[in-house]
Amino acid sequence: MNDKELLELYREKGKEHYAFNLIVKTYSERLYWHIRKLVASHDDANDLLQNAFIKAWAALPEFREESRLYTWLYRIATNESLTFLKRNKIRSFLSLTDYSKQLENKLESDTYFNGDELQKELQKAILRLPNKQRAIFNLRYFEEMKYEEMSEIMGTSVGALKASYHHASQKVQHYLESLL
Amino acid sequence: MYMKEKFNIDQPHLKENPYSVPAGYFDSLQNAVSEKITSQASKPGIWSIVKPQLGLATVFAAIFLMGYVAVNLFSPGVSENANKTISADSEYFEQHFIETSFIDFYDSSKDSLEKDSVVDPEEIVEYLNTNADLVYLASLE
Repeated sequence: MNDKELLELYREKGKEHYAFNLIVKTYSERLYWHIRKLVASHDDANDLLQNAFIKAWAALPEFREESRLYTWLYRIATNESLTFLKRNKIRSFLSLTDYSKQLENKLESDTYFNGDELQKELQKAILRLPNKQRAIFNLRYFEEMKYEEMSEIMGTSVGALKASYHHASQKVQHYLESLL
Repeated sequence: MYMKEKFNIDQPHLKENPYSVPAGYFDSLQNAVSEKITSQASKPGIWSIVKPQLGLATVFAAIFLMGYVAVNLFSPGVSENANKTISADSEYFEQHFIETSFIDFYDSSKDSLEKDSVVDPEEIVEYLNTNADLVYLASLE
């Protein structure tokens, strides 16, 4: 079932919950991995994903299909994650701790990380990027998303996204080269 | 000369997802979201909490207002007498007390501390003139 059919089903009287369950089923995995790569921890990713879906449920009656359903859901999930990261960064700053270091520690102790050493170092390099740049890098590098779609999600111009991705990949590359 | 090797971040191996989830996580997620949405819907909003209390307060205010209006309407004599008493009191005060204000009373008081503490300079000069010798003797000691 595509986005249009899902939304038509949602607008049928009495089928809102069923249609929304289908939306959750369709997009939960993609959104989860997107959030997980931003926050590293499974527990945080789970909370953020559920909150994102609850916000989507509350806002769906006002959804006017000016953007595609999946970019709209990505936008909610990204905003939710960036707000969470920003809040934690401020909290860490006030307690005189480095939030990037905390994320690295979470990655080190994560029982749900199956990658090898090089993949772990790559994730550490990504976790050192500024939050928004990290989201841009992940969408392009792992999900190979088109810049036009990324522009809808991030609310940033295609040119700015290309520049940001270029800077991010250079930083990641330099970090990994420094380990060799 | 040694050239540092350029690292290729576009290796397919690096683009693989290194994370995993607990078993059955995605199957249970749908139910978890549904439960949260249902519990949010059954939670009373702020307006639904405030509404009955606001209604009760309005009823009390209306009863108080009605009572106040009824007392004023059906007991006119009380307010007239009260006005008469006030006007009579005012006249009495004007006749007997208004001439002497509190400040006048204070200034005219003989045992005022201020009055006692102020010494007339002329009296000091007079004292010095008459007792000049004594002062001089005292300063020699």
